[in-house]
Amino acid sequence: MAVPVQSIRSAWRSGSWVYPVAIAVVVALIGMTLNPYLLFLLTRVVIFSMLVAGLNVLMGYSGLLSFAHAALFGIGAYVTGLMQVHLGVPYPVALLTATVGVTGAGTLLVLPALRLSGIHLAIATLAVAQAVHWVLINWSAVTFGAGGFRAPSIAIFGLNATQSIFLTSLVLTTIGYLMVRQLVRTSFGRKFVAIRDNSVAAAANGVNVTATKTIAFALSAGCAGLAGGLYSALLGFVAPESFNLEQMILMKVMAVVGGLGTMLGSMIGPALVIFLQEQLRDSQGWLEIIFGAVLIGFVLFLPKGIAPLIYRVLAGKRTETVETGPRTGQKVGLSAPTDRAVEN
Amino acid sequence: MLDIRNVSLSFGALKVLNNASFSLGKGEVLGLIGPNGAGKTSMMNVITGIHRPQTGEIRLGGIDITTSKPHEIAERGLRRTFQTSLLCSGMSVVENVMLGLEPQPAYGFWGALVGSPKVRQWEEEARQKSMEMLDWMGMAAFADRPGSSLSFGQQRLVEIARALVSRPSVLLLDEPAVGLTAPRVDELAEKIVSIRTEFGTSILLIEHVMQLVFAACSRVVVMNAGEVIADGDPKTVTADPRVVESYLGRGYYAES
Ligand SMILES: Nc1ncnc2c1ncn2[C@@H]1O[C@H](COP(=O)(O)OP(=O)(O)O)[C@@H](O)[C@H]1O
Ligand SMILES: [Mg+2]
Repeated sequence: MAVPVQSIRSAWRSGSWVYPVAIAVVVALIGMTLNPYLLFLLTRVVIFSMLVAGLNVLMGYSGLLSFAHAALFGIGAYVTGLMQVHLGVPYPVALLTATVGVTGAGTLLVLPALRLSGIHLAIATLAVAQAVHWVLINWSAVTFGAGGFRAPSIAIFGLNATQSIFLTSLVLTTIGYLMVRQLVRTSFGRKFVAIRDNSVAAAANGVNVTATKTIAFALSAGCAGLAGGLYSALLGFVAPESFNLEQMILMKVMAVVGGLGTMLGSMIGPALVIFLQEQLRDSQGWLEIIFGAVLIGFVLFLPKGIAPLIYRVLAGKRTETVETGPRTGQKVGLSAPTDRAVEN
Repeated sequence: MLDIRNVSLSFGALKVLNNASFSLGKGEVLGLIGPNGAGKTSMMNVITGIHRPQTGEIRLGGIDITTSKPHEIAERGLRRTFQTSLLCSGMSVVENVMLGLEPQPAYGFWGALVGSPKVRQWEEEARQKSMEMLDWMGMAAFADRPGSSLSFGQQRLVEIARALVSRPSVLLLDEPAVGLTAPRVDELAEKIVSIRTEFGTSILLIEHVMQLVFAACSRVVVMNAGEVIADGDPKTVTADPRVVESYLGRGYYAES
């Protein structure tokens, strides 16, 4: 069968929305045939894709470390759930409020990031995460403490709860994915990469480093907040341990395995990690060890993650090379996401 | 165009710039020379807002920029290259040049999120302008390579393209001839002269390669140990005993 590789490739590179939407439709159709448990897992993948897409802008594109995004994800889930429980607010309003609120809170994380970087920034964000966790556990009058609370599920088009949140998540994640992907292909993407690769040179070229970091934090926080709000409706039960440090590490594994600095990686990472998690359900004690090994393996042997491999398959073998100059003329860049060098 | 008045800079007890003054006239190509550690790069860092001087004042086109941030100074039309900087490895060569067209794309965050027609149009124009600039520097064949795949000398030329693509009024070059062979240095000298004639850019050139300084500069400022020790046309300055003593070395005239 003749596959028009050339046109797929150019459509993908041009940032066309056709292929992501087509993939989403296929995923939707498959999802509707799955049993509730598998659909639950698939929805987790979809929700985490949204979160990891944002995390990728922060960590992958902008080179900023954060350990606070599991906590932001948690705030999103808590605000969405609690607004419905305490105030009787409808789900869409609660979800929107949570997203906006978490965006605001997450943007404040830029304050330590203006003075700190690398491991120091990681520690500062870790402190924020632990503080949030402490509040979730101890402010029982509002948060119901360590035991958690039942969060309302949703129902649309007469579908069951899991199907409803699945479709809602899929639609929002697809829109979010398209928007973030669009953004990183513009001057914003160049600014993110520039502050990561060489922030002094970026500033000398007119890039407002503070503003760029702020946007990266705001965007990643917004994704985390929205994902958290969706997650509360999926879980039906919200408790602090869903948003602890272990979850944060899981999110980082997703981002690294998929491929930092590539948007496709944000989809692949969560799928693989959640699949692996399921395979290892019966050997709980091994889970951490295996994830640790997987992470180390990727960092050592496949530091760019899986996405570049997929792009290469999708692109086929390139024939055109530039004649002059020291290396083969492989295309790179934000609008042609093949190999992307990412430090961290 | 650019006035540096009594600038001093210290890192702790180390006095790096000591009451240094000079100015760069409109449309001038001014050489800044001096031995290693004289403070030339530090001077450039002070001018571009990376370091803030303890005393003194810097004016760009009459406007005080002494306490401005680096990106604000860039926005005012002063661009530079670095002595030891590399292109961004995560971007192609042409995208590296497009970065030089920051800070003001004609669109904002929301336009970029939805990919409005305005965004596409601006991006297309930016890419085209950057390609033209690369072409002008003779680097168009490398446009789609990763920035980090180029040789040091090539990256330097792309960096100049990036600094020029926004048509700045002042350009500062920090040792652009490092890593270039002698015939390439001559080409670079021609380029620098045509930057001035074609774009009207005023240029401050830090350089060790005297071949380039003589070919491109109409005036030379000499620094030593943080002080400006000579300022004048290249012939007169290089004959100055203090300059010969501190920088060129006594053997200079014997060689040339
Ligand atoms: N960030 C810094 N911190 C401390 N010392 C510095 C710094 N930058 C430069 N110096 C010192 O300032 C002096 C001048 O350096 P520099 O401006 O790079 O000289 P040049 O460019 O003329 O070779 C040197 O002694 C150098 O070690
Ligand atoms: Mg220097």
